Amino acid sequence: MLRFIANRLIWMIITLWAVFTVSFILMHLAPGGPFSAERKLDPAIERNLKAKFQLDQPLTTQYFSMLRDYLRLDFRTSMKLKDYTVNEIIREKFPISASLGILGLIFAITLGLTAGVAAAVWRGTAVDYSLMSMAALGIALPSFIVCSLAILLFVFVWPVFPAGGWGRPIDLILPAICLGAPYAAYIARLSRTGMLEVLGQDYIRTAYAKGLSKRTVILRHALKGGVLPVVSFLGPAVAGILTGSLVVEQIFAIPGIGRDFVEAAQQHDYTLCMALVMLYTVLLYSMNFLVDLSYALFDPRVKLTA
Amino acid sequence: MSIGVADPRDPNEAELTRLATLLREAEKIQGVSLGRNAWRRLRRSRMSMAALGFLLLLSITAIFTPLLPLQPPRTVNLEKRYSPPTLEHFWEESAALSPSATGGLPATLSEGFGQLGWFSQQLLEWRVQIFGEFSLGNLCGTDALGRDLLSRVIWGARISLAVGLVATMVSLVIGVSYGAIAGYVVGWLDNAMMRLVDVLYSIPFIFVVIYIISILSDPALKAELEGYGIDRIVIFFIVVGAIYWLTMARVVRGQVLSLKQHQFIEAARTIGAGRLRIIFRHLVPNLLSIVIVYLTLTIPSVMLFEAFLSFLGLGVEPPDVSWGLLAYEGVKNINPIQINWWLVLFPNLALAMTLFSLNFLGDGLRDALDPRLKNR
Amino acid sequence: MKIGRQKTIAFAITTLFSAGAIYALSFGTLPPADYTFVNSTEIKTIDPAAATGVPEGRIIWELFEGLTSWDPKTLKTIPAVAESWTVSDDKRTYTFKLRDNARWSNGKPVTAHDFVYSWRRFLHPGTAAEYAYEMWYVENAEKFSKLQFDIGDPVEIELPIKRENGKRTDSAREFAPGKLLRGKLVAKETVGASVPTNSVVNNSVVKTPEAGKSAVSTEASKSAEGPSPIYTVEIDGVSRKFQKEGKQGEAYKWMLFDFEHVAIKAIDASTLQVRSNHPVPYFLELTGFYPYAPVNQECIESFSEQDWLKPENLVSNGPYRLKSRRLRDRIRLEKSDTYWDRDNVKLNIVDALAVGSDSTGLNFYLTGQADWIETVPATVIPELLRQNRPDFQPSPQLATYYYRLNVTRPVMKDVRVRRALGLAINKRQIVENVTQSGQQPASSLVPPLISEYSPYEPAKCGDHNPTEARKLLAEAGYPGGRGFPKITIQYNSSDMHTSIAELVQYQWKTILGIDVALQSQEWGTYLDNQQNLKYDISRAGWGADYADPNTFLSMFVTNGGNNQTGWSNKQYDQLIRDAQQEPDEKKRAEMFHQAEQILMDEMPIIPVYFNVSTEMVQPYVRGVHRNYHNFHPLKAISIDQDAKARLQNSSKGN
Repeated sequence: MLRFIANRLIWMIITLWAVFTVSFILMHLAPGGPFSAERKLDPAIERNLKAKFQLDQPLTTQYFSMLRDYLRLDFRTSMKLKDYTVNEIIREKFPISASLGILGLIFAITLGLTAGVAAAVWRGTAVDYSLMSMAALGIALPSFIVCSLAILLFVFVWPVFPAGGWGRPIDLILPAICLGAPYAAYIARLSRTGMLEVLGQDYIRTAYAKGLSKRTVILRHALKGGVLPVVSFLGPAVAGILTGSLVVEQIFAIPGIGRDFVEAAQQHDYTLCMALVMLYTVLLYSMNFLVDLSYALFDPRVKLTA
Repeated sequence: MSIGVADPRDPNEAELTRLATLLREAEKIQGVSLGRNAWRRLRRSRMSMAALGFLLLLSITAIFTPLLPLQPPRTVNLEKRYSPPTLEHFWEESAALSPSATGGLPATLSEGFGQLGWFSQQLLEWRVQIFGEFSLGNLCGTDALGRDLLSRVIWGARISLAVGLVATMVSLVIGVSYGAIAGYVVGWLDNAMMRLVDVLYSIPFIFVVIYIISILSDPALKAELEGYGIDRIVIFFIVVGAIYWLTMARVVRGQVLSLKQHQFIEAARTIGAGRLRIIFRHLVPNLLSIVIVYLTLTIPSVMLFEAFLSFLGLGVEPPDVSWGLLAYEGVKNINPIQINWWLVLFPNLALAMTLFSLNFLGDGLRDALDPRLKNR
Repeated sequence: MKIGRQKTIAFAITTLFSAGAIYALSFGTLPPADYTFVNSTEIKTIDPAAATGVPEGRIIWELFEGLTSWDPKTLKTIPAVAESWTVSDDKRTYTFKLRDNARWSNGKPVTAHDFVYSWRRFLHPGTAAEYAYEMWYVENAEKFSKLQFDIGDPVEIELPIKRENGKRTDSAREFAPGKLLRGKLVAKETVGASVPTNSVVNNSVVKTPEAGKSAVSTEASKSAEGPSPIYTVEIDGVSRKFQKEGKQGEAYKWMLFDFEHVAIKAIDASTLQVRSNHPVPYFLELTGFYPYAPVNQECIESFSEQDWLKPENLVSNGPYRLKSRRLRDRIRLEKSDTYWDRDNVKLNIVDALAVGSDSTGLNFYLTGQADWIETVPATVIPELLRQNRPDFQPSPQLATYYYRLNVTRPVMKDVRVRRALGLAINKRQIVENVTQSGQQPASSLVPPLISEYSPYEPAKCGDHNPTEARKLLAEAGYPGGRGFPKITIQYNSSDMHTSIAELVQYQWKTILGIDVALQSQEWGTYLDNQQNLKYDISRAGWGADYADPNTFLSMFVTNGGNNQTGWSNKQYDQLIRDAQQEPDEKKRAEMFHQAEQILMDEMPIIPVYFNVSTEMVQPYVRGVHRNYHNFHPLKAISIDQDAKARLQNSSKGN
C-alpha cells in the first residue's frame, strides 16, 4: 500500500514536470503574446512591459526561472488580471467552480444512478427505454443549447430562477442542473451496463435463492458491484467538473475558473494559463489515484500493486 | 511464418499432411461466426435497427447531397432574411442554377456552392439535368443572411459526419496500433508507452486544442499547409484524432493483455509468427467488437466537441457550414426578445437525432457483440 | 473490519460532499445595490496607470478624479480637482489651480504634489503603462518614459534597495523606490566588444564617449547581450561610475532622464504647471482621461503592487470608493464621504457586473438584474428597433469600422485594385442588413460627428459604384476578375465580423467576379498577423480617444504602430506633422482634411461604417445621457423610485 502511494507520487511529479514542459513549449510556439493588443504599442512601451514580466529573456532562462517559482508554489502575477497574483485568483475562484461542480455532481450521481439502476432492473420495459432515451438526449445536444433553452424556459417562460449571477442559493440551482445533466446521462448509461452485468452473476442468484427480497438484493448486493464502471468514470469527470465549465459559467455569468481557463489560453496569459493547466493535472492525477484506491475497497479481488 | 513456410526437411512430414487434412475438414464445418451471430442479435433490437436505418439514410443523403434539388447553401438573399419555414412555395426557380450561355453548368455556381470536388461537381451536373432550375423552397426557413436553412443543414451533414468519422478513424488507427503494441510487448516499453499516455492525458484537452489551432493558423504556415490540401477541417481531424486516441490506446491495451492469454495467440507464437504479425493479424481483428462500440460512442463526442469549438469561434470557417456552427448560430436566436425557432430547431434536431442514433446503435452493438450472450 | 472501513469511507465522502454543498450555498446574500450596470468582461485592473480599456475606465473614473472631467451631456471639459486653469498665449503652458476641498478617502487633501507623483509613476518605465504615450505631449516626458538620455543630459539614478534581515536600511516605506541621485551624464563606455544591437534597441545610436556629442542612448533590456555599459555621472561636482550589475561601478536599478526636467511642476500645494511640446488643442480634454488621475503615494508605497488595490487598502479621491471586488462577478462601489462634491452624488451603492456574454447581459437587463447594459446581441436588434422601445435608442459614436488592405501584397500595390475593392462594397447593404442598428455607411475615416467638437470636416472617398469598380479592376488587368489571385479576409472570431465578411465576400464575387476566402482567427493570432502584415485584407476598428481628427489620422503615418497596412506617403506624413504643430485651429483642420483626402484617394483602408452605441438603460434611470463615448458618470445618475415602482407593479400585473 505504502509502496503503491510512493510510486504514484513519483510518477505524479514526473508527469507534472512533463506537462509543465509541454505546455511551456506549446504556449511559446503560438504566435502573439500576452501584450498583443488591437492598438499597437510603442516599441519602447512594449519593451518596458516585457521587461516587467521577464519576457525579454531567452526562453531557456524564462523556462527555468518559471520552473523555480513553481517549485516554490509561487505562480506569479497574472499578466492580464494585473491586480491579482495567480495564487489569489485560484484561491478565490477555484472554490466557486468546485462548489458548483459538487452540486452538479450530487445532482448527476443521484439522478444518474437512480435512472441507471431502474433501467437495469426493469430491463427491456418502457421504463428502460424512456429512461435511456432521456439519457441519450442528455448527451445528444451541445451544452450551450441546453443552457440557453433552460434559461428561456425557467427564467422567462416560467420565471422561477434568476437569469444568472452568483451568491444566493437560488442562483446555483439552474447552473448546477445544466452542468450535471450530461454527466447524469453518462452515469445512467454506465450504471445500467454495470448493473446488468452484476445481475447476471451467480452470487446474485444465490442471494435470491436465499429468499432475500428484490429490494435487498439490489441495494445491498448488486449495487456495490454495479457502480464500479461509474467510479472509474468519476475520476476524470470530477477533475473536469471541478475545474469548471466554460459554457455554463459564461451563460450563467458565474465567476468560476472555467472561463479563466479558456480566456487565459486565448489571450496568452502565460502565467495564469500555466497555473490552471497544472491545477487540472494535479486534480486529475489525484482523482485517478482515489479511483484506484476505491476500486480496491469496492472489489476485494483488486490488489494495489505498484 | 505460415504453415507453408515450414522447413521442407521436417521429418514429421506425415504429421503435417495429417494436419492439413484435418484443416480441410474443419473448413467444411459451419461455424457460427461472431459477426453473424451478433448481426442476428442486433436485428432483434428494434431501436438499434431504427438507428442503423437512420444513419444509413443520413450517410447516403450526405454523400449524394449535390444531387438533391436544394437551394445553393451559400447564396445570400437579403430580402428573405429570417423568413420562417413555409410550405407555400414548395418549388422555386433558382436564378443561380440557370444554365450559362454556353449551355454548360451555370457560371455563377461556385458562389452558391463553393469550390466542389470532382465527384460533387459531377453530381451537381446531373442534378441540373434532372431538376433544371427548380429547387425546394425554404421549407425550413432562412437564416440571418437569407440563406436556405434546409440546404445548409443537409450540406452541413457532409462536414459534420466527415469530421466525426475521419477524426474518429484517425484516433482509431493511432489508438489501436499504439495500444496493441503496448499491450503485447509488456515490460519497460509497455510501461513507458502507457506513462506517455498518462502524461498526455493530464494536459487539459481544450488548452492543447486552442494552442494547436492557434499555431497552425499562422498565415505563412497555413498557406504552406494549404498547398498540401490541409485546411482548417483537416487540421481539426488531426487535432481531435490526436487527442481521442488516448482512450482508445488504453482500452485496446487492456483488451490485448487479456487476449494474449488465449490459446490461439499461444498457437501463433508456437508456429513462429513474428511479433508484428501476431499483433496485426491475430490481435487486432479480435479487437473489432470493442472498436466498433468505441466508434459509435466517440463519433458523438467528437461532433459535440466540434460544436463547442464553434462556440469558441474556433470551429469550421464560414462559408463552410457544419451542424456545430449552425447550432451555435441557432443559440443566438434563443432569447426572450425574438425567437427564430427554426434556426434552433432544425440544426439541433439533425444533430440530436444523429447522436441519438449513434448512441443507440452503440448500445445495441455492445449487447450484440457480448460473447457471453453467444447463441442467445 | 472491512465493512467498517467501507462505511468510514462512505461517510467521509458524504461529509465532503455536504461540506461542499453547504459551502456553495453559504455565500451570503449581498444587500441590493441602488444601481447595477453590466460592465462587459472582467476588467484587467483598477490602477489608472496600468489600465487601457473602456470598461476599466467606467470604474476608475468613479474611484479617482482627475484635474478635469467631461460634462455627461456634451462631453465638454469641466472642472474637477482643478477648480480653474489658464493657458499661456503660445498655447503650451497650462496652469491648474486645485480646489482646496478635494480630499483623499483617508481625509488628507489632494495636492499638486500628488499629481506630480502620479504622473511620474505613470510615465516611469517600471510601471510599463500601455497608455504612457498619451502623456508624451509633455516636454521631455517621452525621454523619461523611453529611457532615452544623451551625454550631457541631466539624469536620475535610482539605487537598489538595501535590506538587513528583510528590513529596509533606509527609513522609507516598504514599497517605496530606492534612493534617488541626480546628476549630469558625462560619459558612457561599453564593456567588452558587445555593443547593444540597434535592431533590438529602438533608435539608439551608441557611441563611445570620445566620439559622442549627441549620442542617444536607450537603456533597454539587454540582459541577453553581455555586460551593461558603464556610465560616468557627475553628482554634486563629483564624478561617479555606474553600471547596472554593479561590477565595474556602483549598481543601480534605473537610470533615466531626470524627471526634474520633465515639464510637470508643483508651483505650490494647489498649483500645477505643465508645458507641452507643441500646442495640443485637446490637452485639457486629456487631463480628464483616467490615466491622468492622481493616485495616493502613501498607499502605493505601503503595500505591494497587487495589495494596494485591494478594497481594504485602497485610498482614492473620486466620488466612490471600492467596497468589494469579486473576480468575474462584480465590483461594488460605495459613495465616498470625503468627496468634495458628495452632496451631488445620489447613488449610495453601485454594482458593476462582469458579464462576458451579450446574451447573458440582455437576460440580466430583461429580468431587472441590471439597469444599464452596454450592448445587445446583434440578433435582437431588428426586433428591438421594431418595437421602438424608449430604452433602446442607438446613438452615434466616434468610432469607425474599416477594412485594412495590405499594400505590400503585389496585387494590392495597384491603387486601382484598392479603389475597385472599395467601390464594390455596398456599405448601405451592410448597415441595413447586418449591423442594423442605425450605423451610417462610412465614406471617410473620421466620423462626421467630429464636427460637433472641432472645426474639422472629414474628406470623402467615392460612394458605392459597381460600374466604376469593374472599370478600375479591368484597367488594373483583371477584367471580370479574371486572373485575380485568391485573397483572404481575416477577422477575429465574432458573429458580426463573420456576417460582414460573408456579405463583402458575396458582393465582391457578384460585382467584381473575384474569389475571396474568409478566415476567422483567435484574438491573439489575429493581432499578431495584423502587426506583422501577415494578411491580405482584414477588418479593423478604431474608436476616438479624444474628439479630434488626430486620433484617427495619426494612425496612418509611415510605420505608425497602428498603420498596419504597409502604406506610406510622404506628403501625408508631412501634413500630419505640420497639423500637429499648428496653433491655428482652422489651418490645422484644413491640413488634416488634405491628409485624409490623400488617404481616401489612395485607399489603404476601406471605411465601412460609423459605429453606434447599442446601450439599453431602464426607463426609471435618470441622468444617463447619450454621448459618443458612452460616458455616464455615476455622479449624474439617479433612480426615479416612483417610476421604478410603477414599472415593477405593471410587470407583475401582466
